[in-house]
Amino acid sequence: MENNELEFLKRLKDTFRVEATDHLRSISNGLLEMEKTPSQDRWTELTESVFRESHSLKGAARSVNLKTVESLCRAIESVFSALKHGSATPSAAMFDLLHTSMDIITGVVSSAEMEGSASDSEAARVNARSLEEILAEPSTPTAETGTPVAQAPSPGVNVPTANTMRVSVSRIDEILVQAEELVTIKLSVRQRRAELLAAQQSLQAWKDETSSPSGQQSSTASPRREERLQRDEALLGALSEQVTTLARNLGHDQYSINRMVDEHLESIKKAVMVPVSSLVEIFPKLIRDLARDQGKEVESIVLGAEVECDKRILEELKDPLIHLVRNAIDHGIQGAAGKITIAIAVPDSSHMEIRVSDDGVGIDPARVREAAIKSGIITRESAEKLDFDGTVALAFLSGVSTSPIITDISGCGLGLAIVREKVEGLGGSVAMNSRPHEGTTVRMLLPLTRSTFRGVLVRVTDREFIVPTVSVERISSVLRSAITMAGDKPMVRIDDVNYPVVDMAGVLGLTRRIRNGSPAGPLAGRLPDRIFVAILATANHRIAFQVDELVDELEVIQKSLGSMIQRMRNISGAVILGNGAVVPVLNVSDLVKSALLDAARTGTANKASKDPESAEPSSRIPKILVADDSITARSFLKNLLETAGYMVSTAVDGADAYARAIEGDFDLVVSDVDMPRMSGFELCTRIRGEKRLSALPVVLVTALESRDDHERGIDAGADAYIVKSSFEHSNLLEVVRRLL
Amino acid sequence: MIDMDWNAVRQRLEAAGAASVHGETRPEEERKSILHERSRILAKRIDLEVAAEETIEAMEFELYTGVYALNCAFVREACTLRNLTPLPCAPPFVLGIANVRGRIVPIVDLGNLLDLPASGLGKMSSIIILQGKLVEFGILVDAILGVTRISGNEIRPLLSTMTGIGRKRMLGILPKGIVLLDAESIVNDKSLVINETVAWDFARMHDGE
Repeated sequence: MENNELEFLKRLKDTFRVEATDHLRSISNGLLEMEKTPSQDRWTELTESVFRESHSLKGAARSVNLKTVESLCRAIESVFSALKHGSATPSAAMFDLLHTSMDIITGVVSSAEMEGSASDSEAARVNARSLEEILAEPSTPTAETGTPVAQAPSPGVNVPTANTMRVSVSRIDEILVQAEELVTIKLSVRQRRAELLAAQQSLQAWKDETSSPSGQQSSTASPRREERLQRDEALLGALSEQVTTLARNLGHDQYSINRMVDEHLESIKKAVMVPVSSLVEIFPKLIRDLARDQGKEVESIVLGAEVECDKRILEELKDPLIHLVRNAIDHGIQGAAGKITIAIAVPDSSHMEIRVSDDGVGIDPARVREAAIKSGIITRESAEKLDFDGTVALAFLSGVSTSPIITDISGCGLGLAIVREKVEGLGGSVAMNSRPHEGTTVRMLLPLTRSTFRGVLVRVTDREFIVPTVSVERISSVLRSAITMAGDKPMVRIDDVNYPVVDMAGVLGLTRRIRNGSPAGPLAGRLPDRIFVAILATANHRIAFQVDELVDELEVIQKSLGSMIQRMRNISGAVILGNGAVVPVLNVSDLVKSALLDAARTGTANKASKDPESAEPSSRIPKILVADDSITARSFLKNLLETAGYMVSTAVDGADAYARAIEGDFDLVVSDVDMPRMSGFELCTRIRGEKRLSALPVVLVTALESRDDHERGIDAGADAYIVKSSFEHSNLLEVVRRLL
Repeated sequence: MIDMDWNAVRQRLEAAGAASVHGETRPEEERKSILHERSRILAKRIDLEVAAEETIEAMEFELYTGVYALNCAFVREACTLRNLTPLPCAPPFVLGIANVRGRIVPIVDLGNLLDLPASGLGKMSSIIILQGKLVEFGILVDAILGVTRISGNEIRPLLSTMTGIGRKRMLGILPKGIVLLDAESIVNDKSLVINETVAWDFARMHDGE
């Protein structure tokens, strides 16, 4: 009984969460629009709608006994009731309070248990009281706000009455996955047909042989035998005809199956398209909050949010968009006020274009050029040959940042590189347009649906792998002798271009012999005269990977490797072929990185084909010193960095850290700011003062968020400054990786 | 001669006929609910049996030279291994990935987890798919022996010679020397979750050249 009740309460809360999210979204959007001082009619409309939404939310919260949310909603409701009747004046302070209230409610609603912590309810109480106080202030109606408020046009709730229905996301996802599974059937049928055609050929060959003249010479055979031969021949002919018919019919079936599967998949994909607004609606508030933190007022405009697109593409786009918006606020808009526009358009039936533009200072090409040269991506000579757009494009390369200091918001030189990687991963492209003092525009061109992808099936040693066709520039069969050496590195020249050659087996840690020493297939004894090279391309590199065979090109559905393997190097997933075989899909971006790392480690690419483990110890493991007075933070950072493969020592405060840094041989220091005995700033200044340690990179990780502290960090000589409250683990690791 | 009461026979036949016709035209729902009730009663009898004995169900299997068992509560399914694709660049405890009815399932080397010396060539014919809170994976075993009920008082302590990492993943010893594994700790072991990127720094790499 009790279990049932708990179960029911849980279901109730789940339902409430869905409902509350809708209300919160409407209220937030309403607030943002009201702040822009819209027309009188629109203002009236918005006041009414926010009032109604907060009233509904209050009721819903009461039904699940969420007192915190209920009381806060009551306060918001009374503010809007007063605004509606003209008995209160809207002010910036009021909107700030309303936004904070929304944050508190969102926090409570999205927490797992939805209990609302003590601090939440305290914050809610304070906020509710402040709202009441604002209402109690004597109202001084001004010309703009004191105008008589007309009765809301229609008190009835404005529910869209189109033929739509709500279906849970998980159920839709299930249907989508099932529909995509059908592509496997296409593959199976293709496989069956190939098998049948092979059988038909064998039969034909047999028939030809039995009816050949040599067969007829056996006239000496007994009549009985002759009779049997004739009968067999007739049977063979009939069988061959049957198989031919079967193959032909299967061909027809294959044709209609392909058509039906494709059409079905296409309609399902259309059905799961959602408006881009579901992604971009969080941005006005995000932009407002990020800008406020920096003491800027940034207006946001969203255009074309009604464009519909595959939900899975939108999910992938969230991070890149946040990066772009942060960049715009941090670097683009330098003054106290600015404008960010997110515009979505559909240039053709299968693509959408998202533009993120700001009216800030634009990108300084000279600084991008310097940053790129400094990070070693490009030589000064070639950088100077680049035109304006070519120089700006350098900003998309990993490691290029024009920011003098790394913050948790931007400046790691990874933002744009991540945007590019994500967008290209979705099969899109990205370009940037910037003129000094005219702002920056980033354009992303993306497919509207995520489709199945085409993959090249290659054999490496005795294993098969899929390489996404999109990353394959070309596959060539070349003579072994065409692989020449350039210094100590092998290369191949194809169509007048030199490509470095890397053995795929080496990168994957496969050896050309099976582990127990027995020879591996046809490659063991004699090496074939011709080899295959697949030229794989990432944004910055082209490498010719040597593979043993090009088997086929197929349309495949990539599957994840399961919950246990969240991410692994060089392999991004797996596909199931028509014959049921499982084939891993190679991650080209990882492969290129691994190939370059192997080459750097071993000196020659030839050695890379040895067991990669044996090459490992030669590269020294970087040593990091972590200083933090909180044991939780200390062990957290230690754990995080050790998992990432670094050697970590810890210090309990600044003084301890300084002593250890003097004695030890560290490659990097990660330090808290606020510590007893010696603060992080002081530690940083001391380290800079020490001749031997002056180049030691220091990353300050801090709870302090003010701009002053940030600047103090720069003054003290810190290389990076990360705010604790908002940092993500990967963020710190990227910063550390970049500084080492 | 036997005196037949033909009228009575006729009446009985009619009644039976009516009943059978009525039975056939019994509403679908009613028939379903009767069948449902019957199946419920049948099912309940088994439930009661288990509860009375207070046992757990354990799946027994062979691996290398030993016999092991684990609690069925953590077994999602068991099946014969049809294909196994090795996965390069994976840690040694991952044998590869398999296609289990259209899903990709990672296959783990239980011998590696238990620190067993790989002795002899087993059949390695079956997989047992374990389901934890976070992850799901298969373990490759030589043969599945079946499911038995075991009660708590049958479990004896581990031998002192069972040491090392493997010991942490064992619960005790069952009669006939079957080792009962701690399925719960195995499926919820966070160290089995793989999350790895290629460590990479462009600038540094090109400095070296």
